[in-house]
Amino acid sequence: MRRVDLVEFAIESMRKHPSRSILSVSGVVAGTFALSLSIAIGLGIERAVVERFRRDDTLRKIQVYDNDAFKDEDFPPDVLKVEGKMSEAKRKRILKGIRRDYSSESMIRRHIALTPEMLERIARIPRVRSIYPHTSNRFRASLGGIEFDVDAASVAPGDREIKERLVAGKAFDTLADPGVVVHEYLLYRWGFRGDDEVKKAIGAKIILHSKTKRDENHFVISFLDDLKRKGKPLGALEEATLYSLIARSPSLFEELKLTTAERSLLKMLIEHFTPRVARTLEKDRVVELTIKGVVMEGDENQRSSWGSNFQASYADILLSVGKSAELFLQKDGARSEGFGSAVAIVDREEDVEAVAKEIEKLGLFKFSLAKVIEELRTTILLIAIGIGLIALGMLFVACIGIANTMIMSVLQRTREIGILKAVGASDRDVRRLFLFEGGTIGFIGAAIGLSLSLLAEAPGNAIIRMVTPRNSDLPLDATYFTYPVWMLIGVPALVTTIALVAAYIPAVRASRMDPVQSLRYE
Amino acid sequence: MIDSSFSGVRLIEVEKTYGEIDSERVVALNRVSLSFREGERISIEGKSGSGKSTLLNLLGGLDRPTSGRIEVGDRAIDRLKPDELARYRLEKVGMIFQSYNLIPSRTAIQNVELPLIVAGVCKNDRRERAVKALEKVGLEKRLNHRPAQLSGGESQRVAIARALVNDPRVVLADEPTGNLDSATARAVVEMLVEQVAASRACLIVVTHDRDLARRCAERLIRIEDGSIIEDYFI
Repeated sequence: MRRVDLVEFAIESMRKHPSRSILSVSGVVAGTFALSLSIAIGLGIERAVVERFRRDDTLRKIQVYDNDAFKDEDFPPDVLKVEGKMSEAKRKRILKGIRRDYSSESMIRRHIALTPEMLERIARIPRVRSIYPHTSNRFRASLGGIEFDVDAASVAPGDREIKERLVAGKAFDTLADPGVVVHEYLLYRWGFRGDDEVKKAIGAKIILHSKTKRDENHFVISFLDDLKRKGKPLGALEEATLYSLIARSPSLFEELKLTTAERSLLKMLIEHFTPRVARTLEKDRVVELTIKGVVMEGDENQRSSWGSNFQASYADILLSVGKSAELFLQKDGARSEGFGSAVAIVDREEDVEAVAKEIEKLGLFKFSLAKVIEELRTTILLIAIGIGLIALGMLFVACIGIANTMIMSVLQRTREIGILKAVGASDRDVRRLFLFEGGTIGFIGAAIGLSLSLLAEAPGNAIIRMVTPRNSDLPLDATYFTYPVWMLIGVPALVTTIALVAAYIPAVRASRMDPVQSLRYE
Repeated sequence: MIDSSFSGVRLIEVEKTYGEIDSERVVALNRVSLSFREGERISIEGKSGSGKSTLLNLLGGLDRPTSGRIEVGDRAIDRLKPDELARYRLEKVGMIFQSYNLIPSRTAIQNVELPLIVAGVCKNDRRERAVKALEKVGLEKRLNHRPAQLSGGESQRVAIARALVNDPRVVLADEPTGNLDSATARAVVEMLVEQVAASRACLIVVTHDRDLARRCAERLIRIEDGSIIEDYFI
């Protein structure tokens, strides 16, 4: 028998018993719908999440931090003593506490800093494409003679958040871009009020001073506080006079024309009160930069991409990572103290783990999202598999329905089987007849179930967008359903195969029927 | 494969027994030996339970003998594999039943098409052949009627068209007029004989109606308790 005739027989048989056929097909539709939807949504969310992070190179980034860890030999021998009888596990826990306690109190520290030299070592690790530090500085910024203390933060080229916040000019094109991007509020304070005036600020020169007014204020407040603590209350007039005197002291120190040794000794003395005061003794360094862009206030729901400098979200001025690092390193001791953190970008996502291990070997802390994403993908996959298993269970039940339908069909068509055999149908023909019927039920059910699943995409996306918080990491413009070609072919193929398996036993039973007995069947 | 040449049917010492009832074997056919020529018209008479339908089922390849040999042409059909036996039924045999055995959900033409569908004939060819077969039995205006819409005589004519559409070499009719009134029965028999004669097939009709037997056959065989008791030419 030709396949097309077998299909016609199958459809004819289904039309003869519409209620039974609809019920059987409905079971398959429900199972296929659940199965295809669970796969589609699992793949869709996984893709949306991965694409979301891939867009900002997040999956190729490794955050690197300096390491304050120290070894046992850094402690005086009597410090690491645990007294009393206790288990080894508890002894280790107590030792951890002692180390932490002592390290926070003590000045001796084993510091593995993110120095420029360390960054160079990381850059030499194979498969590291680039590395740049994140730095934040405070400056006194001047434009047209008006000065303000400003917070500055470094921004990598291509930073999505900064690009989205740009209202005029451009962001940074390179790691060492010499320009500066300023906040529109700072421009407002400098007198650039109207919309057109903001654009006029592009190309203007600003002067940055390393010493800020706040540093000087700290100096004064610290001295006054210290006097009060030592029991020397001052009258209001005395306090004002002293405030004025001390406020001028940094410049007085400058006028004293101290030698390097004297300045160092004085600095050490004042450092005793507070390190910030000591900083006021540093030399004021001045740099002139050209405004190349203006950014607006960030949307409170806007999230900076992972691995970018979060301080850029509220900084008054933005500098390229190269320029910011250059200014940062001009501070006394900064070169040896190193940067707080840096971002290494590797060639491919697959290289993250190997490079992270190399960074760890250098004694630094590292963190990458690749592992988190991998765990997230695994979680999504497990959920999808869980739902898929439930769907397969539904399909199994549907197949019991198909088997039942086929058994009924064989019984009802016993005489027809006899007639077919009498006119020359072989056992194989009869078996194929019923297998095609089961397969047709499966295929029609799979096609409808898959179509419904495809139709569910639009409302499904709408529901997901409705329940997803606006500041979620999930992109709101993406589709959360993915229907790859393998699935569009594989799901109907799987469901049809399962239906064929369900129909197999009834089909074999039909094929083995004795034609003489079948023809007598009433 | 069944040999395409055909030179009659031969039964040699054919015995058919069924399972034991009340600890006794039921002998449906008892060492029957017969031979039929090509184009011969034979009527097999006998009472109910005499074994005539069993004989027809064995000749039609629907059943197998317990012992003995059945030769069609130069092939022993009792030794054919199930698929070969099905092919024998498809290519060499046309069967007509008392209760017509039409598929109720299919129209007259679709019923006639059945053997051609099984043979894998394409839709256009089989439609053409089925229409011709129905025209030959005078049902060209009933092509799309379902069995429920046809009279007994018409249904049996559809069955005859179905039996002959594959141009079989042996036509087996089991009580073909059993459900028909005498006038219709006569007409159906005449038409059957005419059609079979035109195709030069061997016609074997099982009946308990002696008058019908004499009208359609040139040779009469009487069977009783599974044995041939009379075999003569009219």
